[in-house]
Amino acid sequence: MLITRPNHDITTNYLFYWSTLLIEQAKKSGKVVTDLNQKRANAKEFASVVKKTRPAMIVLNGHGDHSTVTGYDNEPLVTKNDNPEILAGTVVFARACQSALELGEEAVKRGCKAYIGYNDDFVFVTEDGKETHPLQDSTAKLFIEPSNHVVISLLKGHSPSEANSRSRAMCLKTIQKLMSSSASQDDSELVPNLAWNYAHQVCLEK
Amino acid sequence: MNKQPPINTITDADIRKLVVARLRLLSRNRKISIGSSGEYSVDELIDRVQNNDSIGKKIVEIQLQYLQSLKEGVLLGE
Repeated sequence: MLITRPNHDITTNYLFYWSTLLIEQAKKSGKVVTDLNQKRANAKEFASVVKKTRPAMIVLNGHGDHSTVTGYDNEPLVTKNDNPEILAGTVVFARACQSALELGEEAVKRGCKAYIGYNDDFVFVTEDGKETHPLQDSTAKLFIEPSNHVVISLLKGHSPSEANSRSRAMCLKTIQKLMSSSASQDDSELVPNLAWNYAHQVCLEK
Repeated sequence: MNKQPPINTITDADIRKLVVARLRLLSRNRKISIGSSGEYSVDELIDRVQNNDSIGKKIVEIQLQYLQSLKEGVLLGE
């Protein structure tokens, strides 16, 4: 498994920390993990590691748009018009905004086995004062844990479409819990944002 | 011929007011991270919606999609 984890701003730093759980799980599952963290999440290292290790699974954390996923300092790592073929033969989870819209489609056309990602912005809510301890942010957990479940499910041997469904089911369960009468008003107001991610997380396959 | 009653229409400004009212319910000690745009406090989000800029439009879209999904029952279960 290859994972990219830039951490140059608050958003990527949250994904950086929450991805440590994925690395631990992958290692427990006996997978070899290449961790392109912090400044190592750059285009040169990414291309080199993909070429050398031919990973079965690639997890991309970063910013993105409809045609790109970026690494450290928003350097493009994969771009629809530049190098979508770099994802050929792999199962990809891109925790980045919008990239399923065009990059994912193109990657699948060029041989990517499956591209799980978002066809609009990925949104999450954080608590003040938790920026330096993202894993202790119980609000962010409500958003990031379901998305982590894509990778956890893949590591357990589920197919990409099953992994996407299981992740979305976890998100829906969280939504329903927050919509129940037992949830606080503060927490129930998170639901529109969770529902957004739920609606826009997709699995693209041939 | 009977005169038809006027049809009430909801304007974009009305929708923004509705969204701002919903945003005012959010906890003040939280921020929303939206893509590469950054993190926004509740007060910043309210300003953005009132100014109708790209982030404000996205927040409106998120809230409207939620209301639509409630209407369609898509959050009730699969």
